[in-house]
Amino acid sequence: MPRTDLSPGERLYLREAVRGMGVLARHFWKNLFGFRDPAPEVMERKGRGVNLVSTINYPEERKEYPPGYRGMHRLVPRLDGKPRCVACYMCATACPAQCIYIEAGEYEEEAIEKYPVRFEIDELRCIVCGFCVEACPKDAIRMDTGTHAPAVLSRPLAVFDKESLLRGPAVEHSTDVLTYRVPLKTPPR
Amino acid sequence: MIETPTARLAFEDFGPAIPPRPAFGRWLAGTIAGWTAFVAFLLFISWLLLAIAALFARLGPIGAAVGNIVGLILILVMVTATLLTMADRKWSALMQDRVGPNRARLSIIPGLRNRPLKGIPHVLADVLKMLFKEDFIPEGAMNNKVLFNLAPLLAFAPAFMLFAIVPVSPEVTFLGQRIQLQVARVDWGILYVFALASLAVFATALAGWTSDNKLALLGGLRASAQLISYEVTLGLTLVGAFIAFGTLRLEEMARLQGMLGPALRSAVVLAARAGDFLVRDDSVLFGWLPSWGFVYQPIGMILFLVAAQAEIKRAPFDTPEGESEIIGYFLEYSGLKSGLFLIAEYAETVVVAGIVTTIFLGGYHLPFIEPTVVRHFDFAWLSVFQVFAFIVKMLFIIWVMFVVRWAFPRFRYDQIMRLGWKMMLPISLFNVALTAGIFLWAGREGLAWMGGIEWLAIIAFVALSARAPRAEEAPHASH
Amino acid sequence: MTVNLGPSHPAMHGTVRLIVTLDGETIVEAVPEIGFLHRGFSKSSEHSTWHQVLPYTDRLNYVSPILNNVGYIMGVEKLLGIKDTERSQYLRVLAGEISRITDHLTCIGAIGLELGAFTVFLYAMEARELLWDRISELTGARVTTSWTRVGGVASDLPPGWEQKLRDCLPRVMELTGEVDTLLTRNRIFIDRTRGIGVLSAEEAVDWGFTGPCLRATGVNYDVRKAHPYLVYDRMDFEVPLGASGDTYDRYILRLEEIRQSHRIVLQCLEQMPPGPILIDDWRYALPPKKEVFGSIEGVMAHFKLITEGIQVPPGEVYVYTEGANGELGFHLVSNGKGKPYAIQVRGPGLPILSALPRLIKGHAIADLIPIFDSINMIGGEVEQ
Ligand code: SF4
Ligand code: SF4
Repeated sequence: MPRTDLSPGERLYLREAVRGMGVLARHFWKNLFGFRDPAPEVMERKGRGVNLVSTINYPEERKEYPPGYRGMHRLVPRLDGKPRCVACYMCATACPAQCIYIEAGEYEEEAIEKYPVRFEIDELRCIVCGFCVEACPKDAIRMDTGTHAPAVLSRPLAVFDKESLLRGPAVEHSTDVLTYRVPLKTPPR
Repeated sequence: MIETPTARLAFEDFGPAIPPRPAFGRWLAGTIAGWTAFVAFLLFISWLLLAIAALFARLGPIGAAVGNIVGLILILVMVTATLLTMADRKWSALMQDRVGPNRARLSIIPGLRNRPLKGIPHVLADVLKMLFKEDFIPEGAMNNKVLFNLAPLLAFAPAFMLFAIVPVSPEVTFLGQRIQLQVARVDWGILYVFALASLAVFATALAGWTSDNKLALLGGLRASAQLISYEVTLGLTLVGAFIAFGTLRLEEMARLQGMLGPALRSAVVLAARAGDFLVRDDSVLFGWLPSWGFVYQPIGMILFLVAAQAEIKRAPFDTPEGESEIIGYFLEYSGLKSGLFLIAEYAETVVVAGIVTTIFLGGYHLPFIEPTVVRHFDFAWLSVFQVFAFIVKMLFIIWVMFVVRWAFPRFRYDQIMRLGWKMMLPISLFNVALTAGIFLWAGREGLAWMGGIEWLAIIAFVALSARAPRAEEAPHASH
Repeated sequence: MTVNLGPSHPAMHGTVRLIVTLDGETIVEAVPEIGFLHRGFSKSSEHSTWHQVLPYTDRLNYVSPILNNVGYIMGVEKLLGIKDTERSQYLRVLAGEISRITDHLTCIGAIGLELGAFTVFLYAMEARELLWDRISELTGARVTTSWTRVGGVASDLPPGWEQKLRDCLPRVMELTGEVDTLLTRNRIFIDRTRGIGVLSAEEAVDWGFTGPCLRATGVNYDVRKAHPYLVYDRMDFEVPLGASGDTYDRYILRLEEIRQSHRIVLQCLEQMPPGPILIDDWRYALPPKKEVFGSIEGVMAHFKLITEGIQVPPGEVYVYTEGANGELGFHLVSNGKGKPYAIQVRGPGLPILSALPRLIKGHAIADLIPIFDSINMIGGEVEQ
């Protein structure tokens, strides 16, 4: 890349001063008289008089996380509301941060015998890699809540137990049907 | 927005993601209302300044001076400087595609719950924060406690005193009193500015030295050298204007840039007869150009703006601060003292803008329409509009200075010196010589011609100076 | 006079400390002190499976994490003697080049920021955020991507993503152009950067420079061209070269590389073939979820892979890729026990940082800032 010498206008600072101020002034007036579109997706902000402001007022306006976003964990419920998890320890094994703690227990009446008595994730230790989701053979843990782990005031509060993790829409796979001994009221989709 | 199950979970936790987009009509109405309110507010302030001066003027000449001090320095400069701390952030936000500060709210007042109010409450929050911060004095500064505490005052006081000679309105009769919005009408006029401005050196040097901090010391040294060098240029750039106007008094300069009292009166009479826009304004050059200072002194104006920017240590000349190199001469100050340094900088900005307005932008004069205004209202109202015009021009200059501040990278210390001594000083000397020569040869008319040609030359120079071939258009090495 | 700059100093992004000896404002000597960001990368990775090392690599150069992911996984694949699918190669190049753009944007923005042109920084950040949004749609996270897998990548392009990328790239280039307008020909900027921190080509090679800093001195060495990996040999791009190796060249070179990477991204989008994104070999890659849920073989393979990790035969490899700041090398040693025996990273930042005292000697203290920024030291990769 050969270096080019400055032209006289550039030498006197003037030309670039005018150009630089022009860029800023353009932004300024566009943004001052523009119409701030709060759509969080910057590329979708189109229309009459929309200005260039690309930030959002965070707590009032939030950007929705994209569908594949690795957010806060959830334990996926079955149709009957119990966790799909069978306490196989796969996620705990795969976790590079060792932040999943599971204690297994047994159901009396079901074909699926094992279930987690305790299932805790330390969201402070978690490095949000998503390996647990990948490792689960039962699709029992997901990171599709669309939120991030909330801020907490003390460390113990960041350890989420089974009850707070178990939420969101139930999931049923065709391969699961055989595993119910007691017929369900709502037939699985 | 809440159709997908995941979005619903997020909604449960945090509430709706996006407030509804405001309707275009409503936004338009809001914008128009906001600007109208802004203009009305400025007009009200203009009226208020005059009214305060008139009120105090009832108490005799000393009262008049006190009134001007209250009105101009305590209200105009102080409030503008305080608001500028906010405007700087808000305007820079607009230049940089941001929303800008908006988190401080006045939620305790019922009607203002959760309204950002364009960030104005931040001013309040900042002041409160500075007031209640610990006033920390480093151990090394304890030996020189007096000097250490004196430095912020030395920075603060002169900045405000500078405004004393700036005329904001002509001499008018307002509410039955003969007043002029100007604190001091003195013969030495602008020399007062140069004299006081150099006091700022003491503040920076003292702050840097007493802080007992190496980085602050570097900042103080840089500041002293820079300020003293630019004093020279600052003075010389204005000499051309002195020649053109033949006076040092700012109020004289302002008066010369528009119609003088009697001329205005006769113009009003003429306008009543011949229609508003057919009056020949004596002060207008070539029939259409207001005879403002920038017409006579293009080079002087540009150089003065640059030198003033350097003199008040704002970017791109902020090496004494240089927050990413040495943190600045006020590194060890905390709380209100550091606040004084900051506000002094903004006050200086206001003063510089006021001086530029007075000398180069016609001061309080409205172009072309003064007789019309008088004919439809009266002289008192004209003065209100003139104060308004002054404030608007001043705000414009401040805006330009802020754009400069955000557009450019910082100079290096030795480059500032080179710019000051090797470029600006010769050019301003040349300007002085040229102005003097032309003035002797052809008078003010000649100066106007010279100014016009200079403007054309500058514009042509900027537009036509060929941009050297861009680096990325050059051939690449590759294989 | 000795001045301590850092570890918490406005210009020392990435915690580093510089002990600077001054004579007036001239730097006599400067000693960089690193280690404030040391995370024990090599040691921690000895205790995790080959797969679990991946998240650590995100945190090496946290401005262009995908390039690190790719580099590491290519090493593991070389140990295993396998090759990923063609589509995944394109995906890796695509995401890697986006990362390169974000890295260079950050660097350019930081140069502007530290020189006082705050606007430049925010324009660069605006452009970078646009790209990071695309990255987060693709990988699931803005910075901690952990996106590559042995034999492929974790996720395919989401629906509509390609169009989104095509929409936002012009805006990114527009903002880059505005940065260009504000800085490149500005005399203040040129005075601050030209002839500052000059290093000759021989010296740069001696110091072990790679990447933009080496190319700024005029040495034509880019791993993507010199030893093409993935599908770089099918891409049509140029390697910009500097002439004098000063700060200005390093800056302008990065600006130009953004444009070249933009070209590569567009070519990738055009050439990308359909197909699987992960190899179908259950010894190395997790079986598809359908098999895991529905068949006993799938579950078995899945369990084995998760509990034991990928079985890597004993051996030793060194792979090098073109990171955003230079040659990013991974030296992997395996003893066949399912966990790495040793992993060493050749972070491009370390040799460059070690030359910092040489670069800034004799310059004013104000010049330290542009030099330090233009070498773009990333704490995470210097101090693994
Ligand atoms: S996301 Fe990663 S770190 Fe977090 S729990 Fe899952 S496996 Fe562990
Ligand atoms: S969440 Fe999945 S991987 Fe973890 S224990 Fe439960 S079933 Fe096993």
